[in-house]
Amino acid sequence: MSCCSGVGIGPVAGKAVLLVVLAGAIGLVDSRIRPIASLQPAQPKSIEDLLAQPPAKPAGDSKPAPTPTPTPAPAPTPSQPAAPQPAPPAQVKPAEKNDLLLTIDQGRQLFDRLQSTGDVVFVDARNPPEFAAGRIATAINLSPDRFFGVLPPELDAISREFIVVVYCGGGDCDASKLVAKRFNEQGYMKVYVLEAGYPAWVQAGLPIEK
Amino acid sequence: MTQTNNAACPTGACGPSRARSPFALLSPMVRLALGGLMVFSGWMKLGISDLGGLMPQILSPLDFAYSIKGFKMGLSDEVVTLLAFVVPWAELVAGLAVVLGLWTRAGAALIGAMMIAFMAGIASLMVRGLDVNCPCFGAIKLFCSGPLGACHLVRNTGFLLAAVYLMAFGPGPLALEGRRRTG
Repeated sequence: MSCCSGVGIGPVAGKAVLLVVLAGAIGLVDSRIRPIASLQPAQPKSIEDLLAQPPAKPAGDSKPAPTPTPTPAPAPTPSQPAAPQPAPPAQVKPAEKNDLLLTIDQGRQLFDRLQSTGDVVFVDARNPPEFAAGRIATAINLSPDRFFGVLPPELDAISREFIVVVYCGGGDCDASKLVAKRFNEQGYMKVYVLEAGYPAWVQAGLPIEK
Repeated sequence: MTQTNNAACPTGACGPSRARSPFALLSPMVRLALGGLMVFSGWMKLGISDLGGLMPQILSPLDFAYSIKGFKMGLSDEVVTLLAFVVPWAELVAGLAVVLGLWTRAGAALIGAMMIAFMAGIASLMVRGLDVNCPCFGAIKLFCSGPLGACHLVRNTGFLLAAVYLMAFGPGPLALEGRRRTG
């Protein structure tokens, strides 16, 4: 068996350099066409601005276009039908650095958006037993202690272009804010905290699962 | 002899040089596997399209940029951003070259160089005790899970060996460059 004869290193290296130049040029143009957000932590956009914009899902061709205006009713799920919910005026309070607090109605709007565009993730910051007992439909469980040491692998499946809604048990619980900060430190700019938490979500008759 | 072969068959995939590979169909299989994985890897990091929901685990250059930042190499944000676009495109371009059998050795050389760079970066992470989750194939964990470590080193060594094989033996049959007489 023989190899390598008749092929000079020079031409191969030259062509490899040309491939690098080609990839570099395409990458440079691509980075100008689709600029990414700053890599420095920044205050996220207000949720109203976000809801009025098209989804930022990187794979934007697989889902229908979002509805820019709030939908009147929550989407029912097999586990629990949606109950009529009075629509309080949308309100965003200034919150701690790098997170914004959401009302239950704004959370519902984002849940509706999740159904249509898929670029929203609900994160349950409570302990696993509480999560197992009942959670917002589709939510994943990431309590603050999951961020000690190695980052939770669940983060790999959540694009930084997604909207992340974190919640815990409402009241005095601060697990959601801790988890929101961890997300923000990892470059997630659209991180929000459902201030009233899971009990208010249940009380509003919004979709849950067990 | 070498000069004559170069002039008549610059790609090493035509004429008598078809017998260069010990197994005639091994080169196309290696090309398809290695090039296909590189194309897949690049595509899953570019976030352009999930191909109608076929690849829901696709991530964006922003995600890859944060992985590069996790290496803590002291690069500026501008350089990290540029790398987050250029590296996936390099994987895509080199992978396509290898799959199509057009500039196969050059594509394999580029893949090999990237693998060496990736392995050096992973080894550096391991020495410094840093944990970085890499969106190597988007959110799909291919062969290895968890933060970058020994498994990824072994996996990339496999890719490197495949690239070296193609550099040594050329594209073999079923290659575009085997149909050309000039290179």
